[in-house]
Amino acid sequence: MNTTLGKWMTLFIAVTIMFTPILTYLDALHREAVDQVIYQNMKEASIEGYVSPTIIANMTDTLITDYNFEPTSIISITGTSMIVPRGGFIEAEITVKRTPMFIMNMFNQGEPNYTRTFTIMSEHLQ
Amino acid sequence: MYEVIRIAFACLIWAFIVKLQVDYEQDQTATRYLKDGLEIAVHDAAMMLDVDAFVEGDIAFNQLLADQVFEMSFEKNMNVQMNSVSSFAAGTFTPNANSFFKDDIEIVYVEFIDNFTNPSTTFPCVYGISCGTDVYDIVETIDGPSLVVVAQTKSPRAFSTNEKIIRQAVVYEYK
Repeated sequence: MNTTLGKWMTLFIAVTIMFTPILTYLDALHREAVDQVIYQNMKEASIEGYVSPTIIANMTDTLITDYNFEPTSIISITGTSMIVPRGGFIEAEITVKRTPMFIMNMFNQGEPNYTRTFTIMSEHLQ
Repeated sequence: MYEVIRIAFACLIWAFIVKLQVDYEQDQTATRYLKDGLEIAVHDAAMMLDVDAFVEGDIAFNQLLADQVFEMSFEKNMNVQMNSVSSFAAGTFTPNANSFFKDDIEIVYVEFIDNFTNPSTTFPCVYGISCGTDVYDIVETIDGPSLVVVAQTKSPRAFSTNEKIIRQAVVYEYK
């Protein structure tokens, strides 16, 4: 009885620890993808002077097609919607759902969403 | 009993892999955050031209304004607070309570390459050879007046007690 109980208890821990490295790696890759997408597109936004609908569509499209994000996992992509003259600051924010860090939902999985905000100076010339 | 010990031993090995994995990811994320935040801050600072010099036909940076803009941009994107008199003169930024970083971020090197600091330089030039001073072995061909900034911090590792210094250099041309 003791051995059986011990086996089951260790099994739960073993399964959790076995899958944690790959799941945390996946979570880190998702965060990296979001960081890269917002970073690249903010440079484009800096030239245009605002986060245009085209830039927002491009960010969404890149996340879905290039990084295999589920459309439902992209919660919001927002940014400065009015043209900011050169020298002003433009902001953008991407919020996505995070994937689980542990295979069994027995531990603290951390924040449910990942939000990345970026601010860049406008290069736009009127 | 033997099987339990065997599984427990396997758990120890997996736990060690988790530790390596998480520490590696912290290093990777810290490097990326520092690189991206620094790039954007240097981009913003490199837009601050000396208008008087520009009228005279020279492209030179307004170093005071560039310093202030760098501070503003770096604080916003990195979730840190400046803890020194100037960001460019031995600048130190302390992370806020909810920041990813745990240790201070230091601005260890700043160099302006423009018509005032390098008057005899013709662009494009090779950094450290035909323009600028090669302090951190930065390899870059520069096509115009530029700002060079090097920042460093300690990686906010979750498990390992070994200190890992993350250092990033950014060269940004005026556009």
